[in-house]
Amino acid sequence: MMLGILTFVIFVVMMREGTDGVIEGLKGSWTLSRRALPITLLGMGLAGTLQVLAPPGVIGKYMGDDSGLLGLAIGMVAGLITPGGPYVMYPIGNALMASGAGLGPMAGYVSARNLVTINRLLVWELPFLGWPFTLTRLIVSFWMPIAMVILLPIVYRLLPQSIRDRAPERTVEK
Amino acid sequence: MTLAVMAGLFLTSLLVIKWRHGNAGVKQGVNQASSMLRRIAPMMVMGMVIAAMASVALPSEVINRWLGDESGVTGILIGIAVGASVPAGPYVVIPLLGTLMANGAGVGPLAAFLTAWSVIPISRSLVWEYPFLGAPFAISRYLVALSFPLIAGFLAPPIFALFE
Repeated sequence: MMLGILTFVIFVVMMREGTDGVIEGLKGSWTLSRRALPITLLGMGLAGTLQVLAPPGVIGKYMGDDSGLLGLAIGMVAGLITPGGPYVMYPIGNALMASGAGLGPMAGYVSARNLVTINRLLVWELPFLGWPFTLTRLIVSFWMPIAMVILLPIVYRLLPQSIRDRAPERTVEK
Repeated sequence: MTLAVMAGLFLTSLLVIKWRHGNAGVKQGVNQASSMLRRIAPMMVMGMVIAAMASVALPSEVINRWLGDESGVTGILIGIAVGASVPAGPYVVIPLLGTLMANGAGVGPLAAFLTAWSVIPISRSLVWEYPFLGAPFAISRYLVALSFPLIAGFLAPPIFALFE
């Protein structure tokens, strides 16, 4: 997938700007990498240590349907600190659900993770987009996990039974 | 500044692990980090090249016209459409947004792009969310999130103006 996009952009640059354009693009890539490298390495180190400090199977038990505000808060905080890409987040989400996490806390987990990951914020958004834009985006986003926590369970109950039957099974009864 | 904060957090977390789980815990943490690095490094390098190449391939006039501050609702809708359909991680998307920003894209379209990529990503929802979290959860979450990027696109410019 990525290789395809890469080939495509290099091809377009080649067509429009010739070899000089490609060289200019490569110089730009080097500048970008040099700026991002140190902080990315630290971000990944932090991601690794966080998974040892807070294993998901344990956290999910505190996120049940009747865990109330505490469950919502735990879900959102877990989302904020979950590092890595979808290959980390969704298996963790699955483990949280399997160990009993309810709809509201899961909605909090997924939307907090999607919108404001501390890792992504520090490693990518701040260095590349600057603090005025990053802060703006945080302000226009902070209500979204809250809206999601309230609305998702309502929409879920409105879905036809045939779709609701396809929820993953829980290993722990609530 | 950011670097110092990150280094501090990393060292603190290592110390906490060392104190609570001993050397085995530290080793486990380092292993997790290095396997993540090996998986992501090639994608990161490609992402940087894609972002830098895009800045050569897309002239400022084009970006200005379709995503500039004057592009209004059209710019926001383009931002949402592209954001929802880009099948890439932050290592491509954020440098690309930085490039677009430096070449004249407006705050509204950029915020809409970033929000759409975050909450209504088509490929991530199909490939990851649907199988791992189940159809009913994925569908209801997607439906609720549909309006978020549009709202972000309209709210962002006046708030951004406060910080300039």
